[in-house]
Amino acid sequence: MKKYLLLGLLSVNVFLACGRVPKVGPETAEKLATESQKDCGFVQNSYGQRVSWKQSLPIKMYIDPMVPTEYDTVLREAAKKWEDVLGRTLFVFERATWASTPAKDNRNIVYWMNPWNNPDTKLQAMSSLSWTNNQLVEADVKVDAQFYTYFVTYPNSNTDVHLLSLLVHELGHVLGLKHLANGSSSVMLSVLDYLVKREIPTAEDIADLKCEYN
Amino acid sequence: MKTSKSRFLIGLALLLLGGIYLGGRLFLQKRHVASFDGTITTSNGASYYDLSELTGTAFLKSAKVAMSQGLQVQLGAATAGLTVGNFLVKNSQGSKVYACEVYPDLEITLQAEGIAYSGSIPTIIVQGPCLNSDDGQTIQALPLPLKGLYQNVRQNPMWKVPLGDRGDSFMVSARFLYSEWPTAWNVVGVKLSNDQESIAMDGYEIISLLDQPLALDLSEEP
Repeated sequence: MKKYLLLGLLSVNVFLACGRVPKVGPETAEKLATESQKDCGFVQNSYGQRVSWKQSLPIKMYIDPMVPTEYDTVLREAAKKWEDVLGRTLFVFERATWASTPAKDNRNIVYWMNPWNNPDTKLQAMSSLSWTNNQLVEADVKVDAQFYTYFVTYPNSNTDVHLLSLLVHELGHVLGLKHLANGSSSVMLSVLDYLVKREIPTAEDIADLKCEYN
Repeated sequence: MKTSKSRFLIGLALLLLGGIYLGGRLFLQKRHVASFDGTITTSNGASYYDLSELTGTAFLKSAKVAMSQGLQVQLGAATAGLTVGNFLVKNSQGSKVYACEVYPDLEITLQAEGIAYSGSIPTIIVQGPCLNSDDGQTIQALPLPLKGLYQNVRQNPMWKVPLGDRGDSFMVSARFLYSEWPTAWNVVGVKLSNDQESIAMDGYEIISLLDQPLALDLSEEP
């Protein structure tokens, strides 16, 4: 009985001591407080903590039925570019057997959007992330199939976009990465010009990913 | 047996005390703000933050502390806004005046809670005049009209909102807003400025002063 009481009390103490109450970073000469973590290229919550999937890897992603099946391999190849960085499986893909529209539904889904249904027609794709505290809970990837055409190996026109490069970038967002400023050759640059291939994570991308997931 | 029972009870008490101590440190400890160097004058139950003798970082940090003391969400019939703590400063003639006289521009930045699109968090920026409240204790809220807010900020890159009946107005702009209208928004920036200088408090500083993020519910009115 005593043992159980002690164990119970210890658990309460450990909970109290280790409760995940976020804190902001320390005061500096100029500021009363700072971000609680260095961003490492990641989206941060209101406390300045990096948001990511933490231990909830691999991420199960469904592929919407509207995504052409011939692009499944490109999606897996894009995932592998990130997985090679960490040497472990980060994504598990499965074809969805139901049709859906993008929504907060606790499922991670890759959509092929035609019509694009977004007033910003300059976007080739958009990834949406939702989190609770600093834990990502949902990510959807929407690819604009109305205003853009894509190529896998050779382009058919001068306005084709390299699909693998685009998907590497979007899966970077799914992992929690944000855009990097111009001036580097990161796969997380916000603009991917027509015909440009940029599918290999750079040293900067690798350092960012390892900062959070190692 | 008796000794064992006593030991057990002492152990229990120590564990409990340890737990309360650790818990208190981690959960209950208010952040100690050592950065207020101004003076606080209380008159008729109202407190006035006097920073007129301060300069440099002592002034900047104390101003942020004073601003945080009046940060409060103001909900109107169909509006939501944020009051900011007021304080006294010296103007160019050396007279003691309210902050708005020296810093006539107020900017509030809000970020959606818990969502990002392509790595960017939806952001609303409200820019308008710094106006004292009637009692001078706070800087008046710039009330965001909730009805049609989403459509208005989506359609107008700089949406002009009338303020009061004296021809004043303020501007609202938004970034990274897409298909979904987030209803919970955190205050991540409060800035008072003039043409030359500004006092800018960010979301981390607000949390450090209030112990939690300051959130606005911008649900549209039905």
